[in-house]
Amino acid sequence: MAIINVQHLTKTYVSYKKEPGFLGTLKSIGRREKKIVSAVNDISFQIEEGEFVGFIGPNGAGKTTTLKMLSGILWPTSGEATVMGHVPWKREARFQRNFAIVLGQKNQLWWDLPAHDSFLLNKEIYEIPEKEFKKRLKQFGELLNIGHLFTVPVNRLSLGERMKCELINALLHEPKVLFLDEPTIGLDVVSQKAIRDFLKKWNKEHGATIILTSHAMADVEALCERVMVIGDGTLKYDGPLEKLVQSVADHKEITVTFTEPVRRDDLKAFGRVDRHSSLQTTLHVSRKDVPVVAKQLLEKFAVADLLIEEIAIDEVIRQVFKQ
Amino acid sequence: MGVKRYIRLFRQAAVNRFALYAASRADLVTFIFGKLLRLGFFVILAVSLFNHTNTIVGYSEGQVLMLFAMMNMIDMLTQALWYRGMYNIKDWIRRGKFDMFLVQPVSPLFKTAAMQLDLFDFITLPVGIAYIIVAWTMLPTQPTLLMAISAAVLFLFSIVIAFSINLCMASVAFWTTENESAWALYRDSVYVARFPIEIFPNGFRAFFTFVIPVLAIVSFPAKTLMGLASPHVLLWGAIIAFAWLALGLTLWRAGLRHYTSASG
Repeated sequence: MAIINVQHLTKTYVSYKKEPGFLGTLKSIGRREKKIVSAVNDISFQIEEGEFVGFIGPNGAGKTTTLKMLSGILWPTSGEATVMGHVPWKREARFQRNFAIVLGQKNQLWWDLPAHDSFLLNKEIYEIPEKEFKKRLKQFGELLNIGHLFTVPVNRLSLGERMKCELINALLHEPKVLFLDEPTIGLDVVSQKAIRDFLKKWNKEHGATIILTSHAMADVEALCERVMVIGDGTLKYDGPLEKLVQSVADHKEITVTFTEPVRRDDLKAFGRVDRHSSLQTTLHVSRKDVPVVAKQLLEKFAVADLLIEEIAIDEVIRQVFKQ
Repeated sequence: MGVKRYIRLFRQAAVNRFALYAASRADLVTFIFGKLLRLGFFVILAVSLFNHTNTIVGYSEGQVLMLFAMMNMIDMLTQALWYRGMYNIKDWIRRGKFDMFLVQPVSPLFKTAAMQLDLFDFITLPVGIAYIIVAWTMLPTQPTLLMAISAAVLFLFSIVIAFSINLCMASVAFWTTENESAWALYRDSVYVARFPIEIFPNGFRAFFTFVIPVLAIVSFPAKTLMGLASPHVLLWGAIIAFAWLALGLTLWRAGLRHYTSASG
């Protein structure tokens, strides 16, 4: 049975238009033009226990709004959803004890105090036994290599260190369902990788169900076997990441490194030349022609290395939204 | 078990907020100085007035001081127990910070009000109690035990009324996100309540006693101690307290449902 079940979920907002400037402000006091914005429009899906699912789509696509409804932050306009058998927006304690949400752009930690003080508050909120609390904190500290910074005020930590502490704060009660909204936003590549590795390990060891929204496609590629592409509030694709890539990208990229210089014109017969320098080229080759072209390249040129890759996931997403 | 958990939470939140204030000692000194100064100002004002007259609209020095002491005590508890959170909620709603109040297994109302508690708010509590004792001894007629018990019950009703009015104001922020003037009006009204209500016109007095009962908050318990309250004051106090509490909780629940968060 699915741990997350969503049926025809819809969320619309009412906002008011206002013309710019002083006159516009005066007019808006008298009469305002109502605008109905559809943030999420009739989305349905199921997620099984232990799945790590990526929500991808451009800004304003409806990813975060969906997560907020599944967290119980927002009431939907229509539709139904259950998470672990609970209707999230009923905000039942039994549901809240088993789930957590991390919003990458919002702090849950007390800004001017060391993270440890926020952890202590969560210990009381989730009634974590003292012994267990200490054990988990030690484990998290070691796993994320951050334990030595638990006593430093949060406002003195780097963005990466802060995000690690935010994650610990959210995971201390070992939730069965975790929603992550842009957890690596603004982080350097080293911190991004550390967070990714940690999440992967945590998902595997605890069997937690995780939904991740991220603009960093490396996050999605590294962590999610299944992706949901959301655009204009609707679900555009739901399935394995691999299948999405194959269905959208009818070609692959062959990057060849030569031992001696090769002219661009000599490569045109093999496919579209995307990038070229005298000793390296990247060719855009139709998926079905890849084996033949690779063989021909090896026969015709002095090749030091040959790499066949799917096109970048960012490009795949761009293609989806172009369609 | 639930109550014990909430007490532990309350304690931990208080410890965290204490640590916050303690981190900035300069703020702390200014904060305490400001509080004590405000307490002192009214006494100076009252003493100055009574140097020129023996009564204000028929109220003796002790009675006026009791009105002030009662207003001060209610205001002090309001500030300490819930005012900070309820006042700040509009900013949390505007910035979407309120999201996090809705995802943890703790009542959002408790998180909004009680978990913003500041232990330093209690520093001036002994001074407030001292004011009541001094005013009590200066009353022209000493209250009977029955009057004292009635005043204590009415004091609790006043706390409920003050909480409920603030809850209504906090709840309105779910729709408007801007109600600064309502808070300013509330605070001004409570300060006005430290004066004998007889100085106000009848219509004004009735409106701010029974409809928006900011005057009742102070006058009901204080006048009971003075032996000047109507015989039905307990009943009125109960009706007003429960009606406002019901209104506050209804608005709050509707607000939680209406909450639209903020993007980003």
